[in-house]
Amino acid sequence: MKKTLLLVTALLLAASMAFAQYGPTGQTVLSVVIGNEASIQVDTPTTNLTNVTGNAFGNFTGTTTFDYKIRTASGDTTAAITLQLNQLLTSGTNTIAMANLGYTCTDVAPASGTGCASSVTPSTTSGTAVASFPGDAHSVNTGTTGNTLSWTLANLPTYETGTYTATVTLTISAA
Amino acid sequence: MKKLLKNLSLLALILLFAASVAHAQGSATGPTTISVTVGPEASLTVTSPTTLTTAGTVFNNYTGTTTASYLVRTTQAGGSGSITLKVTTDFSPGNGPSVNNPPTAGDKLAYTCGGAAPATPCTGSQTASTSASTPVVTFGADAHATTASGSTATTSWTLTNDPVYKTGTYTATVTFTISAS
Repeated sequence: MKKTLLLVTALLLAASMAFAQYGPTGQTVLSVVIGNEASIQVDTPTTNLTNVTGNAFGNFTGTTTFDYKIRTASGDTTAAITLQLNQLLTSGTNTIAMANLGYTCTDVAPASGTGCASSVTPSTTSGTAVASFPGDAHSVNTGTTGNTLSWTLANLPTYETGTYTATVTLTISAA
Repeated sequence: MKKLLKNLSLLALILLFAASVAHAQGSATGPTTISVTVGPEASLTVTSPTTLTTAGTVFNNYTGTTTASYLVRTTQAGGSGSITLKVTTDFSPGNGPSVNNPPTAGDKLAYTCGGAAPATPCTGSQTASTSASTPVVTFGADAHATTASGSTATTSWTLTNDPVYKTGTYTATVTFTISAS
């Protein structure tokens, strides 16, 4: 009888403890880690390079615009934007040497375009500089707009006629 | 022998007397009425912590889910109940997300609700607040948790991923409240 009473008491206690956390209110702690992030949007799907009508053999020029969002940690200075071409400017079997193509950049803060303030020759094998970022860099929530790449292609008479194309990929990294 | 018979008779008399006293009412059984009033009740428990995460590093919003386990009983006729939530402690430290004072207008901590009967989840996206309770689920009349261990309701969170936030870990406290009538 005594053992039975003891068992019943123990079971009742266990049951009460199993529901001890239920109550009229309950709390959760929301936790979020905010880290480095970066994204880019190219606003010019096709950048047409043209020369001024009537200016025979004047350079071909064109502009690519892009926007970016960035968040970097304090002291982290490795975030950057680079670009790379997938091929030489190509028209059928004809190509234009990369040395004839160059670009400069105008970047809106917090991006810095010092790496392409003077003409840069792009590459098909590695990324070339478009922008760099300081530590603790932040764009506005809607993105930083007004960034441009200004292209110049030498207009050489040795080119075969045709429409030449290449794809330029801009890559942003927040490291 | 006479003495034995006398003793036996005395014993029988004593036993009959004892039995008659034990059943003073004069019957073999005696009823009593047990009465209990079962009223509306409600209680809940909530998973914690709730970690909000983002996919990739391209400013996708942060998301996460909180599950509330609840027990509920509402009045048969005319009863009702609800679970609501409120951000009782805003995100800290500063320079990150904030429910009450976000760095960019439009930044918010929003959520949608889920849950099966007897709960009716809130509809559409809700914006969490530090100043007012906002809905999670409601209960109608004669609502009962489906099992003794409780039914569940879910809150699926979305937090704006604003580039303006400084990097770091931020926490806020959300309090869920259940009621039944």
